[in-house]
Amino acid sequence: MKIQVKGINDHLLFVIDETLSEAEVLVGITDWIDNPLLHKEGYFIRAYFDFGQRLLSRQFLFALLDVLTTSQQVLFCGFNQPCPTKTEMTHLSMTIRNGEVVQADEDVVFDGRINPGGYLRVQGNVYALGEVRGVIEVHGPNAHISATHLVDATLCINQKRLEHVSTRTLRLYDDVSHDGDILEGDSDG
Amino acid sequence: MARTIVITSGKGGVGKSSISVNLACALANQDYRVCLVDADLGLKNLDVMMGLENRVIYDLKDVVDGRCTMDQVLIKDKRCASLYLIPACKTLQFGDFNLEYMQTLVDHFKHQFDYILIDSPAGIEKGFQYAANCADEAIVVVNLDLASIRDCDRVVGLLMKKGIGNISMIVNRLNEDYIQNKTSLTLRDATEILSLPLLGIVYEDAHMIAANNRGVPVYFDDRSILRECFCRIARRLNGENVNYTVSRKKTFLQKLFQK
Ligand SMILES: Nc1ncnc2c1ncn2[C@@H]1O[C@H](COP(=O)(O)OP(=O)(O)O)[C@@H](O)[C@H]1O
Ligand SMILES: [Mg+2]
Repeated sequence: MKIQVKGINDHLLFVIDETLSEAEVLVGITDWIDNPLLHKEGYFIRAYFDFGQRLLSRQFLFALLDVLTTSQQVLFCGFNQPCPTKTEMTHLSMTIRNGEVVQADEDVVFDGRINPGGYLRVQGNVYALGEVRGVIEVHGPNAHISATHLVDATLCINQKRLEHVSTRTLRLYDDVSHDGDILEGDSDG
Repeated sequence: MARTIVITSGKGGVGKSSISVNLACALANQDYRVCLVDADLGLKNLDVMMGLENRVIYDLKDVVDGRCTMDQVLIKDKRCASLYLIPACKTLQFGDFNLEYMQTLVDHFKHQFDYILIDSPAGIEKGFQYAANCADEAIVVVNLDLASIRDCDRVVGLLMKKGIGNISMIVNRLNEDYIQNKTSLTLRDATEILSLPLLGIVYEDAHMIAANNRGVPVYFDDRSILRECFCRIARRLNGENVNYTVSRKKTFLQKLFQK
């Protein structure tokens, strides 16, 4: 069955297979609605449509409403709106320098540096692993920023600004260190 | 074919011109054929710094206007046989000049030289764009102060956007005492922020100022430590591996306990 009809409490749920063409869907729905099984004396049954992940065109929606209003058998109660699910996550590894703006429309794992004056602007969440001295902006419901190393950074979450944020998680490294800075000149003596 | 290198910094007064001149001398002294281009078009100061002011007969404007050939604009240096200067000129505005022209000039000289060093004007406007567009490599000059490092970072971003990937940095006017008493930032601050390979260090030295004013590059001043600095920078530019030393200055506490 490419179109299933389920009775749930006081309404019908039309579950439509995503492989059907729009024309086939309309024909299928018309057949069902004309089915005497669905006809009740005295009142209209409420109908709800589940199109799965199918993206509906305007023409299709108008055609569907047309079918329903002309048949006068069921009461249209709505359909599900496939919402674009965000499963994408970008991995960025770069240095964002002063004056540069890097934008992304999905969650970002960022393992470079953001220098003062550099912007990372994201519709989604940011997981920053490198050193951040610039600005991270996140937008969207429940947007959040996770960062390990902030030095005087600016964080914006949906227009809310936090300035001069510094954090440092534990960093263990084998530092081949020297006491002072390096200098120009011969190394002997 | 010459390596064309733009020397730039974003901020003014950090020592681009001084470094261009002295690096050019150091390279020429190592027998490389060097052409130094003064791209600070409206101002021109390399000829003054090199003491060649009186030798300038033709300048870039004359080439553009067709009063001389490209080769006639070259000025031979007094001291180094293989060093030439292309002077800027006070009258030429960037409006009169176009990018292709600059490119043609650089391309023309590419075959006669080993190095073409282009001294860029400050800022990120037209002058910088002209200078940077003709180069394959870049040296950024930075002082150990916040504004200089920020500007430099901005410039590096712009250079990379132009496709110049080979960028190294020279820290100019380094003063150990200032680093010690925290008046200036440290070398590490600069290398961390800019994440560029260090081509060399040039110390703060009054000889530089005096030399620039006398029109004799500090490279020829035996009393100045800067000569050695520029020699080392030139060698590194040629791919030699020249080590740095570790600072031997002790902190106050170290002095207190170790002596
Ligand atoms: N290492 C140095 N020590 C002392 N003074 C310096 C040094 N480098 C440059 N200067 C001085 O700084 C000033 C600006 O230098 P300049 O080379 O003209 O900079 P830019 O070309 O970047 O504007 C000049 O007066 C110069 O003599
Ligand atoms: Mg200059």
